[in-house]
Amino acid sequence: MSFRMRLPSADYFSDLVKAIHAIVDEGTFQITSESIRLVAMDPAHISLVDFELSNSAAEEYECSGEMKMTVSISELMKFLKRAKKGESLILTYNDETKKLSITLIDATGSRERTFTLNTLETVETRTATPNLTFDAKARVNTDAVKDAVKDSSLVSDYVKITIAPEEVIFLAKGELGTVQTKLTKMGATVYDIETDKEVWAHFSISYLDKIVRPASELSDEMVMELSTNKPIRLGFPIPSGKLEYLIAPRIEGE
Amino acid sequence: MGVKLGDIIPERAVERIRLEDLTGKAIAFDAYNILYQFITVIRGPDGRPLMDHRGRITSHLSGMFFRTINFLKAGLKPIYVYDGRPPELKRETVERREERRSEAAELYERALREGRLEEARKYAQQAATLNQYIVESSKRLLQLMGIPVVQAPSEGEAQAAHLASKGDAYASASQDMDSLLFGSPRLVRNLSIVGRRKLPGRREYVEVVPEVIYLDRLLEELGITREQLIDIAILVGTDYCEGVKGVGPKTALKLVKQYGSAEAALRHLGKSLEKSPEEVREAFLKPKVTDEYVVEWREPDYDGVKDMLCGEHDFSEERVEKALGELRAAYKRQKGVTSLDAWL
Repeated sequence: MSFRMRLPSADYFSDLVKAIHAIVDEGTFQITSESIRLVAMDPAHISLVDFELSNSAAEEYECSGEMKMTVSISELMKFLKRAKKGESLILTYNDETKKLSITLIDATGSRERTFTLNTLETVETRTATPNLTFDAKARVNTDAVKDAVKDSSLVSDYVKITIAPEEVIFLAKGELGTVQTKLTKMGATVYDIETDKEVWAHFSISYLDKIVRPASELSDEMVMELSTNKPIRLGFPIPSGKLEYLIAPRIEGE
Repeated sequence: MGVKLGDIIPERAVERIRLEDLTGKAIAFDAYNILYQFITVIRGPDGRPLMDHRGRITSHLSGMFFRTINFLKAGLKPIYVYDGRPPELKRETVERREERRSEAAELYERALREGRLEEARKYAQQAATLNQYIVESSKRLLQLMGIPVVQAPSEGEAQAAHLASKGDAYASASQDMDSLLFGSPRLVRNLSIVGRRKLPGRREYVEVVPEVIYLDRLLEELGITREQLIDIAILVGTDYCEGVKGVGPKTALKLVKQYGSAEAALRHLGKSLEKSPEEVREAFLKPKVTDEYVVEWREPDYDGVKDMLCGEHDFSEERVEKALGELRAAYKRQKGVTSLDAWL
C-alpha cells in the first residue's frame, strides 16, 4: 500500500508539524483516503494533540488503503526545516519499504530535493481521547493569549484561566507578585463567548506556552473550551483540517 | 539478587525514557533495593560509609533525601514499599547472603588493617547490610518529607507490583526484574542511579538511562504467558530456589517454549530442583500482599527534616537548607497536578 500527497506550501506543513512537536517526539499518523490524522499524548499524559489534515488541503492525494505511519517527529522536523518560502511539498509513503519521502519543489519547478526518512515500528497503543463536555467556549485572539501566558510566566508556573459571560481572565500568583490579563468580550481580542456561568481551572504555563507559541503561526484566532477544574481544549482553526489540544488542569487542594 | 532475565528481554518491550517523562506519575519503589544501593555506593575510598558523630551510618539518609528530592523536582511521585517478613521459601537465600556478608565483613577489616584500600572498599560493599536502624531511620525521614511509605506483609517487590497492577502506581521501580514475575505491568529501571554507573571492580563507567519494561509487550514479543515467564525464571534460578546449572535465560526460554512448562523442561533434561516448580510458581503468582495502605503525598515537615538530618545526624546545614528550598518548590508545583487519564 502506498500514499502520496502534494501540498502547495512546504512551509505551512512545517509549521503544522512544529505544532505537533510541541507535544510529542514520536507519533503515528493514521492515513486513509480521506485524511491524515495524528492523536497523541505527551509521555506524562498531561496534554494531547489531535491533528487532522483532509485530502481537500492537498493538490494531489492518493491513498491505496488505510495504513499507519510512525515517525520521529524531531527527525521529520529537521528535514522540513530545510524548506524555503514558496516551495511546495510532496509526501510519499510506502507501507512495504516503511520509508517516507519528503520532496521539496521550488516555485519554478526547476529544483527538486528529496529527503527519505526511515519510519519507526508502530507500537499498537490506543490513544484514548478523554470524554469531556465544556460549559464555556471563547473565541479569542491567539497573540493576546500568547502574551497573557508569557506575562504570567514572570511570576508563576501556573495560571488560572477563567471564562465568564463577559470576559476571559488569566491570573497568575507567585511569591514575587501577581499578573492579571483581562480580555473583554467584543473588544479586539475576544470575538465571542458562549457561557451563562463563570468557569475556571489552573494550567501549567509551560504546556500552554509550548502549545500556543507554534500554533500562533498557524491561526490568528483560537477557541478555548473549559469547565471548572476540568481539562481545557484549545482549538486552532486551520483550512481543511483540525488542530486541537487538551491540557489537564492542576487541582488546587484546600 | 533477583532473577536474571536480561538476555531475553526483547528490545521492543523496553522504552528508554527521561525522568521528566514520568511527571505526575506515581512510582512504587522497592525500598530495600534502593537502600542497598545507597549503603553500598555512598562510601568513602576506604569503604567506610558516611557516619555521624555517634558512629551511626548516614549513607542511606543522604541517598534517600537527595534522590527523592530529584524525583520530586522532575514531577515524579514516589512511593516507597518496604519488605516485611521474607517468605519461608526464601530462607536459604537469606541465610546464604548473611553468611557471605559476615565473611566479607571479616575480609574488610583485614584489608583495612593491611592498608589495601581498594579491596577494603569492595569487601565493605559486599558486607553492607540493612539493619533495623537503617530501615526505621529511612522510613522516618520519608514520612517527615511527606512521602508515602507502604509496609509489605512479605516481599516489597510483590507489594510494589500489586500497587502498579491496581493502578495506585503507574509502575514499580527496582533494579531487579522480579516485579515483572509478580505481575507488575510496567517496571522502571535505572531511576535511582541516573547518569553513570561504575562497573563492578573496575574504574569504568557506563551511561545509564531510565527505562520502562512493559510486561504485556515482553510476553507478546517472546510469545509466552506470565506463567511461562516465571517458569523460565525457575529454570534460571530465583531467590526462592536455585536453577539448573548451565541453563541461562536463552536456553530456558527455548526449553519452556518447546516443552510448555518448567516441569516438562526438567523432565526432558532429566533434572530436578530442590523445590517443586509448582510451589515457586505459586509464590510469584499469589504472593502475600495487602490492600491496607494509604498513598498520600503530604506537605513536608521542613523543620522536622532539618532537625533530623542536621540536629541528629550532622548533615551540613547549608546543603540541607538548599535541598529543602528545592523540596518546597517541588511540593508547591506538584500539588494538584493531574493527568488526562483521569478523564478517560
